[in-house]
Amino acid sequence: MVSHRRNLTVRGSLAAGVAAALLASCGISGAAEGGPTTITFWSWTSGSQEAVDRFNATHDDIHVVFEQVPAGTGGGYSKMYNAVRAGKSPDVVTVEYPQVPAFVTHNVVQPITDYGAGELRDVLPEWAWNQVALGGDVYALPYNIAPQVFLYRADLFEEYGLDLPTTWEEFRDTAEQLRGERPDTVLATLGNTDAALLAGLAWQAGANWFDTAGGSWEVNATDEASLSVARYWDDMVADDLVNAEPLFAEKHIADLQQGRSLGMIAAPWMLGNLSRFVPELAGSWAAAPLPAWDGTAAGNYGGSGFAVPEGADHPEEAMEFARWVATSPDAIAAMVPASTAMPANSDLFDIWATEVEAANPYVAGMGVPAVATAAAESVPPAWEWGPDMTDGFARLMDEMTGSMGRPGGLEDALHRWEDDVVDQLRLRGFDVTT
Amino acid sequence: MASTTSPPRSRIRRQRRNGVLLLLGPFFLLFALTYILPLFYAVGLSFFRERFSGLGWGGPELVFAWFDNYTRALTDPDFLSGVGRVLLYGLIFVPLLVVLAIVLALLLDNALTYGRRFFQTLLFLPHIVPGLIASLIWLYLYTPELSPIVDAFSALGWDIDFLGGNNVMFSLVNIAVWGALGFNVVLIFVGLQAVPRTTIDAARIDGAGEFRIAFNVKLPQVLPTVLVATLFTIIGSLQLYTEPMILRTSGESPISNTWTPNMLAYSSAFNSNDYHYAATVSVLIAVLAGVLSFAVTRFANRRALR
Repeated sequence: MVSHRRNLTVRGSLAAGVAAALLASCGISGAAEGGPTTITFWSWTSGSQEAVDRFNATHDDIHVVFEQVPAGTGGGYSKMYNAVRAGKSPDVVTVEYPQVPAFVTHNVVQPITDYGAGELRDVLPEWAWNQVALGGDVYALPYNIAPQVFLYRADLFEEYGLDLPTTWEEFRDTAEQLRGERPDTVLATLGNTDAALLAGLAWQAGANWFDTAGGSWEVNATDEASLSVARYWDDMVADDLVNAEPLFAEKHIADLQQGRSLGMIAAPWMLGNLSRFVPELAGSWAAAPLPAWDGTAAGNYGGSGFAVPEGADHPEEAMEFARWVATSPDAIAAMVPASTAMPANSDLFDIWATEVEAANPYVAGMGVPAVATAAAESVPPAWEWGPDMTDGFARLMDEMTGSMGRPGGLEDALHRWEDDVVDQLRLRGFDVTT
Repeated sequence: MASTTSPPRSRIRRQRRNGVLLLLGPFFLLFALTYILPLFYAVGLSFFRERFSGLGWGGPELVFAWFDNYTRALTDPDFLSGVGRVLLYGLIFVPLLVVLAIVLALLLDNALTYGRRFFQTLLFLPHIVPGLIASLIWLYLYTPELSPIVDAFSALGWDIDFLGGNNVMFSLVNIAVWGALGFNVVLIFVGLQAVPRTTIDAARIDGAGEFRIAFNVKLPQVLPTVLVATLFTIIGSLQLYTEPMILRTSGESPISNTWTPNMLAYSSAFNSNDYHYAATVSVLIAVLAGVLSFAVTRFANRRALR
């Protein structure tokens, strides 16, 4: 593995050398044209700086300037909207899938269909493509996905003689067994402030909260699939079989450290958090497919794509950079030390598996890449996001925290949330059906 | 001849005017640029709205909305309950803070000199801690299973939930009082220092006790200072934002994303990208603050006249 990494470095410096040679041979003509085209890239995701550095070291026609912005919903998106409005658009930005429809409806991003985004369609999971293809155009190039997996304390599972659950029914049985034997320990902690997690679980169960097939926003968070998810977790929380509290807050970290919480519903990007918050638990974790309702399916829980804002000065160069990050093994190699997020491009799955384990001793041996790769292929393709998910998630979080674990709490929360979302969208003029 | 010994009147006036301009100009320039102008801009924004149609892929259309945004706000349960909450919060917080500040300032004014400096510093210290940090510290102290305070109460057989239900309002007031008390004590204390010692001595000679001196001699003379402190506190409570925002992240409280009007404005602008509605909510809060300030001033003036 070490030799492999050295290889990459050699390749990198070789490429830089070639680039320098090319630059030298271009000489005066290159300088006359003003040298490389400079583009700006706004993001907050881990690994962005590393990817940009590698790109700049291996390309002499385009120079990417990376600007760290606050996390999307923490102010980054707002900054992007305002930059476009002020006519100071960056050339390329990171947008998470739930926010793509809002960016499109506000005319903040331009279609990238004409910049060759379609060439990547075949190597992307169908559901990931559906996240960025809206109204007949493509608006973002997926580069990260986050299929759900179940992370569990393999050491304690073995010590306590627990079987790995494969269905949600078995998950409950295992949780009850554990509770019976060790009253102060739970099978998992469920983030009660994380609306995207609940959405992902409904997604896994086959729901589609925002269906646009009929030409209007058909909002439906109260279908049988979503409600059964809600009922299931209400019961689990009410019966004290899982903890419902913010993930990686002090309480959860204390529970993890003391072995009082044995698992969590996760996605590959979360491994970074895990290794940062509980480094002492290295080697005790393993990944398994998320328990299923029937058949095997995972929901998606995060991920993002590259979008080109309206008014960007260099959309073609921006897309060339985006395509490089989304297709190049070199980009994966550059990013894995900083980020454990999974690439969207299925051609890169194997390379990512090798690289992410080589670069992160904490991750090696957990078996995440294999589980996540299988999960990525099983995510239901029908799911769509609404046109104001930043607000939607904030409202769903409020509904969730207040009601999770009360009899019928989450179920009511989904009903209230749906009504609320419908009202908000109608107020702003969207065509909504329920 | 007179002009050689003293400059003409008009020149003096001009010089004085230049002096005033020089001293006040920068303030008014900045005040206009950062306060008056944005205020008008916000009012302007509040009369427009962005309207989407169909699925919305075509983008929004900017339309003149007359008072649509105001009607929306005044019928928006999020806005109305938010206003109700900050008013209730103010109703608890303002009297509590002002009374505590007066009592502590009077005590400091009376206390022996060596103790005074110590307590002054001690009381003022929390004011140096930014509201954000204070909220994080208090959140830790409020969170069950983490907080030594909750543990201590629990050991005494009292299971108290600082974040749940209606308690969260008092928990917020507690953070605010902790943070603002020192500053207000110092404010009033400085006022007390300016009270002429002769009036106090006169009262003492007339046989007034310490309590009587404090409440009948000192307090009436610092009422203007108390009034200013009250005004600032009222306006501050209408703008409640940081503390509930932090407590919300605990996942243990009923605080929602639009719990106060300022949170609603923030959410409209930065989550929904609806600056028009955010501006409307902000204008309404400014109007409310103006009305309340006016009422307090009028009330105080009438009392002063009597």
